[in-house]
Amino acid sequence: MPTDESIRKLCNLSRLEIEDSEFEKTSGKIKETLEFFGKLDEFKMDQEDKSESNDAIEIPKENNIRIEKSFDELRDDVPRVMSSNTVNNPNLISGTSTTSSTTTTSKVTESIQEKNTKNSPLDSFNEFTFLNTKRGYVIGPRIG
Amino acid sequence: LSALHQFPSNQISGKILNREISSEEYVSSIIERIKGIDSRINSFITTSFDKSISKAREIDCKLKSKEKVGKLAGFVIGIKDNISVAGLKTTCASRMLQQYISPYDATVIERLEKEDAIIIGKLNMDEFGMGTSSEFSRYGPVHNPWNFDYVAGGSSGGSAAAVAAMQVPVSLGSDTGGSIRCPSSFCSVIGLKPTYGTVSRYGLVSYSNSLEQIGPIARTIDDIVPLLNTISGEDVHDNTTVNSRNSFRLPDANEIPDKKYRIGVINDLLFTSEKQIIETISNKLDLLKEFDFFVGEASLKYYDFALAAYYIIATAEASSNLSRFDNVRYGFESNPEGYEWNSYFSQMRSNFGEEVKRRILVGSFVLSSGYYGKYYAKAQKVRSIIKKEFARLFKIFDVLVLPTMPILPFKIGEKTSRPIELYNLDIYTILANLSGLPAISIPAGFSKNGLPIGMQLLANEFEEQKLIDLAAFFEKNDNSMKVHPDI
Repeated sequence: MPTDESIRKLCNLSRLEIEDSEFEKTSGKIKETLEFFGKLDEFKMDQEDKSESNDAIEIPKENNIRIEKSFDELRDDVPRVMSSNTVNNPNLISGTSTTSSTTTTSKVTESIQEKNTKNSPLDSFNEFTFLNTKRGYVIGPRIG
Repeated sequence: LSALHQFPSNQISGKILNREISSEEYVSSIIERIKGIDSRINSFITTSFDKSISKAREIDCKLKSKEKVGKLAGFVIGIKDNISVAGLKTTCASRMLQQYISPYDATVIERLEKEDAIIIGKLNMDEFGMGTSSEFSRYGPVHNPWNFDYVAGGSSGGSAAAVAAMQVPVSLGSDTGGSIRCPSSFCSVIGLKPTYGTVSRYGLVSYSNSLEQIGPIARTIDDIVPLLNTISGEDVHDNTTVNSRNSFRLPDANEIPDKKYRIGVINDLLFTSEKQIIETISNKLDLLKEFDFFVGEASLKYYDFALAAYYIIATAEASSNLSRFDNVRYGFESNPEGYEWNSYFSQMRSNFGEEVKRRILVGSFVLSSGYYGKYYAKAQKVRSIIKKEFARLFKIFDVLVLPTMPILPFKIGEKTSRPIELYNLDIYTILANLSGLPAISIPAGFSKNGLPIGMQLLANEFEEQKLIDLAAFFEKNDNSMKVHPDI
């Protein structure tokens, strides 16, 4: 349960000013709400029937959750080669690109690409067909 | 029906197309009605009377010169004030946005206007959609048309109250945890929350992206269907919209029993309602049995974790979504002279209402690194299990029945100081939002002291047609859908 001090810190982080006269009331209601959320303490992450869990969204168990990554570990988020039947956009970086530009940018992207290729083989990537593309870009999840 | 404002849109539309009445004549009668009673209901925040009259004249001219008009010619629509309409204020019932005029139309508005619908104004709501009673509004509470001392439900309270009070025949609301269905139940009108992804959210001021959907509210199912058909479908501005454009149709009510829908009743939840509500819903189930529908008991596991999971996800998303309101990009005129940036930022954001501030703080807390696993990860897991539970139930049943709300409408001011009590009222409605399913609230009857009771029907994803069929069935066979308040 957060202390009054941590709620003040939370206000500061959320860029919300709460009048001193209002603070006690607000803090009380926040604690009450978090107590209400505490209902989930009774829920165990492995409570679900395993036989039905094949199509569930996999969420790591509490102890294994890792939410911080060092900068070096972040994925290079650069579009990669896509199979010809899904993408024909010349603006996307391609492993077979014949662009004559020798700018620094292209060198950087080449090196990134090389890194990406090492990390995840393009062959398997090419086999994957995106169902949800628009103008050559993959656009988020789709229901149904 | 004697006055024009009392007619449902589909009937008025016919009269306008046959040139029995002019569109201008109809819009004028609606304007008169709004002016006449809104001081008692408080459902409108902004009106657009001049523009509506111009649009009506435009439609009349088209008809006179035998030009083609849109499918919704004659539909006058009120819009919840968190949906952007170009040139009109979009305040979200908040002080933060009280001067904000939207520079563009939401996709749903574009689609409505393309079909010649007339936008008559913006409707009152809980600030940023956060509430169950429409009391948390910068513009004061919405009053229930059935009894002005009572709440209209929320957060789309203005949208439902305006329809019930016959200020408008139809309106749009948004539903994050029951915000269309709760006020529809409290005001005795029909409110539909479509499957997540059916209607574009582009132009909707986001509170909780993964839960909310825009949907129609009307007095008859005949008005819900054309509205839903117009606003649904894929939108390039919203990646979560589905690519297949469903076309819903009005069924012949006599044919519906032949469809042999299997109805499931979640008894564990039903019996936690007030006694009068249980009795009313039981009567409706008896009616279904009379017409030889299969009615069986459905059991939903893990529902007792659903409410906490819903509020964790909703507040977490709210804390992120509302961080954009810094009084620089959006907000009102205020002189920053003499302030240090952080202090200015914090002070301006203090213009959020009390409930909104609390949800932002709680959302920030549940996302903070030390508590992520305790709250957010678990909430997502519960969400995934509930979704699977519904998938299991929809292998057995076509439609599930629940009350829309566990209690009757309550008096204004009765529960504002008790947030948890208000959160608990959402237990029946949040299930459809957590699982992305379509759900409809239809009028089911009245309590002994004349307050409305609503019944909720849930179907599997993209099976809105089943909800429409059953709503049409009840509309034909149950008189509680034909009663309107006398104002």
